[in-house]
Amino acid sequence: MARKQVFTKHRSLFDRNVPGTTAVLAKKTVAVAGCGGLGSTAAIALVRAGVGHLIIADFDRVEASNLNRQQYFTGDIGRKKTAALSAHLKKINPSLKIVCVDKMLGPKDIQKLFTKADLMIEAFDRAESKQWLIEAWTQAFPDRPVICGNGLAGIGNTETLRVVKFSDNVYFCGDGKSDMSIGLCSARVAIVANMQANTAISLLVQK
Amino acid sequence: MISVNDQKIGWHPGMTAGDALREAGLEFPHLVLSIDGAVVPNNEIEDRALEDGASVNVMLIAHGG
Repeated sequence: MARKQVFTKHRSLFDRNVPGTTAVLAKKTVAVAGCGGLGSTAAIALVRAGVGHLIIADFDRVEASNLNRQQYFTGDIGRKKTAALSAHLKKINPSLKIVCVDKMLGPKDIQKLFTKADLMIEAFDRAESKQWLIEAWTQAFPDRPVICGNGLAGIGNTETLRVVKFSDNVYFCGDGKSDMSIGLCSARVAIVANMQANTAISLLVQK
Repeated sequence: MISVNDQKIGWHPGMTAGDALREAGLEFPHLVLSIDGAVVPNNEIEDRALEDGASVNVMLIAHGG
């Protein structure tokens, strides 16, 4: 494809965006902690909306059992999740600036790794990890939002899913109680992930 | 009087956030707690003193992501 055609094609990526949002989102940086069902799905929604910079973090590799709800393909099995997701996101928007963090995060990493992030999408699977991330983020960046996934397992019960503003900059998306021990379904996980992304986009364009 | 997730609970001198959780029946392995909008680190909840009129918010955390 000729260079001019590529440029024209990419420039029109966001033609159907809500007016006034594209230029704002292009300058924003969003951190995504965890690239599983929530993180991979939210990241795709954010990039499609026009967020220009992402920092994605995960220590894990893609397994076959992930494919029922996470945004990977059979050819990704065995790849680092950050590398696979980064490649998929760049196919959506080749101009995306993305930083991959391939490590198991701990509380001491937050200030150092996410200094440039305007907002955090919490997408861990373990409750204790969600807990420390919220604590570490609110201590490091009290004026920046953290949007958490909490209660996304099972099927149906869409009416129990909601966004709760917990404190000035802490939001929870989900039903607040369903635990992954009952099983995870792509549709319900994706609803919660997109609630996180939608909340993030809304906050970013307001600022 | 304090509130825990909008539930009114009697306050007493020396009352801590840990006491408030037990009185509200909200003991749970994983939760996030804020007092007047500020998140309290988990390892400080048990001993964090509450003032009369405090607004305590608690979110129970489920596994899954």
